[in-house]
Amino acid sequence: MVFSSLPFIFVFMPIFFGCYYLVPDRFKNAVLLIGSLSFYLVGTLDHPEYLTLFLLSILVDFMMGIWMEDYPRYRRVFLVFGIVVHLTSLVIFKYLGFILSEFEKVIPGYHFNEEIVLPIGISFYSFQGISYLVDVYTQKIRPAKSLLCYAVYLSMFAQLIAGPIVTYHEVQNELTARKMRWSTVRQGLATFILGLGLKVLLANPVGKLWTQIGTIGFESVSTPLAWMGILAYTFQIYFDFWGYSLMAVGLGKMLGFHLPKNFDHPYLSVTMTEFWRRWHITLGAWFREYVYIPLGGNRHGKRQTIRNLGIVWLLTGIWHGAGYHFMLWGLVLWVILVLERFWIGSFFTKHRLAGHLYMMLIIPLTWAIFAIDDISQLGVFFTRLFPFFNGGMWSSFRYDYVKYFSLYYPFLLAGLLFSTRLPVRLMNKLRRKRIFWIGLLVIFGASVYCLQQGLNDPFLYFQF
Amino acid sequence: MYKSNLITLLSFFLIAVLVLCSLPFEQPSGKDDVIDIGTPLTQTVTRLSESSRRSPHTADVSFAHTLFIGDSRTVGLMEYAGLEEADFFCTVGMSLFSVEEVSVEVGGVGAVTLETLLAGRAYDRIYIMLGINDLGYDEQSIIDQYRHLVQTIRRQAPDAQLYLQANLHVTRERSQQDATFNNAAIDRLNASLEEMANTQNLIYLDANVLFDDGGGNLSEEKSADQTHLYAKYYAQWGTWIMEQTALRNGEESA
Repeated sequence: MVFSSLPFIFVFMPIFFGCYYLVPDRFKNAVLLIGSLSFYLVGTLDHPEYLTLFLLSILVDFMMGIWMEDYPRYRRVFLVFGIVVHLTSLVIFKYLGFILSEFEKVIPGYHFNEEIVLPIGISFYSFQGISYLVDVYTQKIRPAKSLLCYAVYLSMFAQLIAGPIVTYHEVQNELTARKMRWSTVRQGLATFILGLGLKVLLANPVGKLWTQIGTIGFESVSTPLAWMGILAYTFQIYFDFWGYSLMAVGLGKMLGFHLPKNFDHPYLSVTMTEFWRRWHITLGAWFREYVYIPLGGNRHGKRQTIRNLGIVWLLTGIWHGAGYHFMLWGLVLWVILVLERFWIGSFFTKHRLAGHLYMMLIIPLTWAIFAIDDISQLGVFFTRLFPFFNGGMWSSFRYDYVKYFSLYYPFLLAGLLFSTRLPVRLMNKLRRKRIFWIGLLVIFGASVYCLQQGLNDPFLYFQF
Repeated sequence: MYKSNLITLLSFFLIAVLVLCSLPFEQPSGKDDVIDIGTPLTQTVTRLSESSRRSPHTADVSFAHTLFIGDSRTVGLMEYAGLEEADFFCTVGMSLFSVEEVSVEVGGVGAVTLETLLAGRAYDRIYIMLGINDLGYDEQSIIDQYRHLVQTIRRQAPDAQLYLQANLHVTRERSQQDATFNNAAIDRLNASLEEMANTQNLIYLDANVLFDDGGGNLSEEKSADQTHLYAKYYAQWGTWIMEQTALRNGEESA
């Protein structure tokens, strides 16, 4: 079940929140757990055993946490065991299929025909589980004494499927005692509706241009249309994920939790370094805290820093999916980040206009590597973006870019506008006025209408 | 705390047992039987492959007084096949049940209905490719509507040669998953169109021979979305239409 769907909005939310707000505070965690597990079960109906895997993960983390405190001599053993359980299930379900099908290509006579389906949310809850174990090990937090509390932490439906990646430390107080204020619930609902609007009214329609270009085939699009297409994808992936994260934060508020922000106007960055502090903030923070810093960070000289950045970015790439293009994407980002750190970064930070122009080029180009899973097709697409190497600027459909611009210009312009701070500033000015809620009602109505028309697309980040 | 943990643990155990017990012992095969594509298509394939061995006189074919009527595939022909001289009356999603009413932007003419277009221009050849968007409706009503369209066009353009193009297949994957848009239904529709063409002096063209995978499905590598061809194949289709038209002209004059 995705947040941006009619069953979630009109069936799950009323039933769940009805129960949640009616029960006394001491039963709220139980209701939240039951609701979250039901939510997860609906998403894994074809593979109900994944729910069992999830429950097992919760149990393992909880026991390892307790035992790390009760048997400090064996803390490291319990930490390693817990991390290995998480990483093993992640590797098996996310990467084994890819690895074995690659073996099939090189080992004669070996055939791999199984389809390994990814349990939803595994990339997110595994990372949350590992963060919990490490934080208990380093004694940043005390382990959870209540299995229910820990289960709620890991399974909370607001962030289970697609983040933000929440550390136990961030929510541990709210897990045991949360103040339910109606003003916060209203704020949460408003945030949810805004996220829904970003996803359904902006991300989904603009994304259709990118899909259209894929249907035409990269070799047949003109250069202007190729650039329009990758711009459309750039907007789609941002508003899709930002919208979903806002919905998660909104739902968290409605539950009484303050979940962390995941996006901070990333397209306003002047360097890729800055971009990755503003994009999917909780993922960057996780890699920094649990991989980069334990490896030594930047404290052991230039060479080690470069090596540590390489490890982090290769892992970031493959976290997004099993495929060579994700590895390539991670490595390209690594090269860019290293160049910025040791050479060009300070120039763009000082000369912000140049920085913006630089990012307007680099962001779509790196997203192209992310979006196109066939490396040869990626090559074809780049020859369309940069036609001096091959082919010429135009397509056999000479004015294809005119046609698609006339169809999509409202969404492309809206994408540009919503990449700036202007809409948020306007919203903050109007927040206390009645027009704000009328606007929300319009956004909600329009979104529901589009969903009903079947214009809902699955959230891009779900395959991660 | 200890009691609460026990309750939570027992609940987990119960949920896990219930969930695992709900797994079926035999996994369903999940695959529909591949439906054997019936004779009409294979006959058409044989006929066309034989005819393609003869050399067509494409130079004799001009598309200056030609009209193409159709849906998204005809839009693809319009945009990518290089048939510059022809007129196109087509939209994505064009339906048999609205083709005679809608107003469509036709290059060099403006926004017109089909009736207005046929009244204002004389065509030697009219190619029609419709039906796939109407597959949800009763099959007989689709054929009746097609017949009605042909009669309307005949009335307004009595001297034009009419060509019916078969609806293209979808890929095997889509065909197996879609209860409405699958190749069995498309083949049934095409068979009825061929029959209509044979009885009414229309020429029936089936371009599936160019794009099929040998099993009666659209080749997986020729489409990104299981349904529409990559743009680069429309040029090949356009050339084939020219060749087939030249061939039929040659047959008629022979």
